[in-house]
Amino acid sequence: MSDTLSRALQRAVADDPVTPFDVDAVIAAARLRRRRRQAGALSAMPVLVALLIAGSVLPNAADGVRAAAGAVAAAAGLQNKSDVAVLRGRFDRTSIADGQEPAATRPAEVARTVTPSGQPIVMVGYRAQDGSSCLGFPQLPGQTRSDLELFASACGNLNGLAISGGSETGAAPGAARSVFGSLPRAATRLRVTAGSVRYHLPATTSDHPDLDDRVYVVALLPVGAEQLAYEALDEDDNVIARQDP
Amino acid sequence: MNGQQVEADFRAYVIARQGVLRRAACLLTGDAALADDLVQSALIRCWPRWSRVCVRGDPDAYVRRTMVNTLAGWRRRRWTAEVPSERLPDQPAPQVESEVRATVAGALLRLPPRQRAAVVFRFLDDLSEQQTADALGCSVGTVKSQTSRALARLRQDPTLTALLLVEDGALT
Repeated sequence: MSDTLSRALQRAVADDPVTPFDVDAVIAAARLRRRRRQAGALSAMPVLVALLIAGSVLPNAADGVRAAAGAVAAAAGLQNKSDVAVLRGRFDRTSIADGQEPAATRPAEVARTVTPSGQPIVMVGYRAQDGSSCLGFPQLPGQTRSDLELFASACGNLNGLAISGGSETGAAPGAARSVFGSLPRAATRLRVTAGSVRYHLPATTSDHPDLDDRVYVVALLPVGAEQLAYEALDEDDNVIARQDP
Repeated sequence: MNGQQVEADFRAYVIARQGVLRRAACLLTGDAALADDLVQSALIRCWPRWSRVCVRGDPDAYVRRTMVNTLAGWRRRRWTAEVPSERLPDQPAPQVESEVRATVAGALLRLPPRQRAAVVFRFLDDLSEQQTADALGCSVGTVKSQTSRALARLRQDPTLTALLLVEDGALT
């Protein structure tokens, strides 16, 4: 049987297309992993970061997450945006609500970086079937299956504000909540009220060349934030957009 | 070997061996996307130790062993990274899968992980028993017993047996 089995195994994988790995990204990710470990990054501290990205539909998932992660890195105080690694990955929604058919996995692009204190920042972007790009933004230090799967905890569609995760959708305790949406370009700050706590988030724009005059916000909120509202402020502190659930 | 040489060696290795590693990963995981993850994760874990890996002289064995351990680690940990959602923003594209692949992958996935790895390394990668033992981190005797049990199970798998009969006319 062994010869027959060998041939069957060879045939089973013979027509599998192989997309070359980005060796630079692998090396960058390995360096980030080492830095993260050296920094002792796996403490379960909640992280609050904000991101304002100019752009409507990001033209390419990989470019989108790279640009977004670069902006996040800047917002988090990282000096070197080249520390952002974009890797291939997998977006998985196999644990959607009971009674629904689980969707299969789909390829995604994953951007990873770390803050100076070693906190990991991970984003995922993928191309939806309608042609739009999506970004996900999880942050679950110490709770993930592997470094490359940190990203699978959250996803939102940049074409509209969506809130996912947290107790609102019945996610496991400790899950981060993420917010995605669009804001006027004049927004320079975001005032977020999460529960009884108010945060002032700086606007960070991306230097991505394909982005237009719309501004998106992706905000990751601390674990346990029950209620969320935000106001976008311009440079004169005028409220120019508001979201209050 | 200095840092630049190590990096050049690693790049050359990844370029040369990624196809072989990914094919094995496909059958270990039963999922092409997961196979990408597995190889990528293994390479990321191997890179910081690459100078030592090179000194040992058989990087394939080290990377394969890392793949097996990484996959085992994924299974051990409870999945906590997903967020349930009431509404999917989009639906996945249907996956095109050949009958051969579906049948073989299905039969392999019904094997216990160590038996599956033994079969993949022995009969896809054509490794010796010693090389397979190195990859799995076990003795040659364990490889023999795992392989024997795996083959016995595969012989009793009706879908795989039917496929092999069609392929070869008879089981050899």
